[in-house]
Amino acid sequence: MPVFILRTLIIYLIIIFAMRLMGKKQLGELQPSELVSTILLSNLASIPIESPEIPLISSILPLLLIVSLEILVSALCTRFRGLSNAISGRPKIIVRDGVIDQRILRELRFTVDDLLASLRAKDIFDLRQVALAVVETNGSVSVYKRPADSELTRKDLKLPDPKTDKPPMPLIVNGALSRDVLAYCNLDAAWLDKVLRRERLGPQDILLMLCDETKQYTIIRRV
Amino acid sequence: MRRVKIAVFLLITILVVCVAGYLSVDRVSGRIGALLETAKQQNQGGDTPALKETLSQLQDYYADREWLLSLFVRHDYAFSALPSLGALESYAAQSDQTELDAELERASAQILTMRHLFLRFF
Repeated sequence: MPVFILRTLIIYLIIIFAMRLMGKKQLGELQPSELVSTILLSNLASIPIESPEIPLISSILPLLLIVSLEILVSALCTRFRGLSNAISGRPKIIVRDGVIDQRILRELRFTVDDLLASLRAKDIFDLRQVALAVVETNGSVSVYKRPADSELTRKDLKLPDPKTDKPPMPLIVNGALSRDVLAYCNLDAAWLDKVLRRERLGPQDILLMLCDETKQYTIIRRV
Repeated sequence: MRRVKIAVFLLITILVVCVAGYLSVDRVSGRIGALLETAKQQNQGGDTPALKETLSQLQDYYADREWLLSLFVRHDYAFSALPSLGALESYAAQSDQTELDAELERASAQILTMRHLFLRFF
């Protein structure tokens, strides 16, 4: 029994290492090669756990090999566009000026329902609103609306620019101060000390403190 | 770029471990096969003291390298030869030439099977 636990623990740690090594791409929408490696990893990881007669090394080596190949292939894809096209395919334009390209639809084996569902997920219920819809290589649909149907912007309304372009950032989370956020917001420790003294709080009393570079802040106290 | 370097490092490590595993299993199984072959010849020649010495050597060598086999070879294959190798010495003690010959043959076949399963490409 301890062998099972130890093997599972080792495989668990290796899979975490593998996923961290492959990066955030592996956690979002997957390209074909990423999907293949993820499926293979999950299968390989289960073999040594359920079959104690198989040496751990004979599962770990293929697992690490797939991770290495995935990283090298994605690195090569960033350098060679042809390889990227061969492995991941190319984005395809599926709707132009509200008209569905039926040839592409058949080529991608997309049904009209699939397309309409993807558009509805982007709050588009009328095909005529679509100037351009592209099926990306990871299978998601990107949409560019006709200008007449696009959302109004501050620029359209000729409103003045907001005081800051930067969103509020979490400066203190669970009592822990983030010095990166302090620097990002062009603030310093003296300002923070002043604020905390004014609020009669220590960092340990704060669940979340958001602030932006205009020194606007929101504090949620720990209960 | 750091990830690419790690990936290259992992590939090199995998290659080294694979080559080391291949060579180790090849050497260990080859040596056990050779000792079994020697034991067979000594048994057929009726050289009992030398046979006992060879079998003892074989037993020690196998016990010594068992961890290496279990690191690379499926445990059921690696350990399948163990009982028959352990029994060989008792056959030699009884001076039962025919039985021992059959057992040596069986142990050789098991080692050969393990070697073949590990070293085969397809």
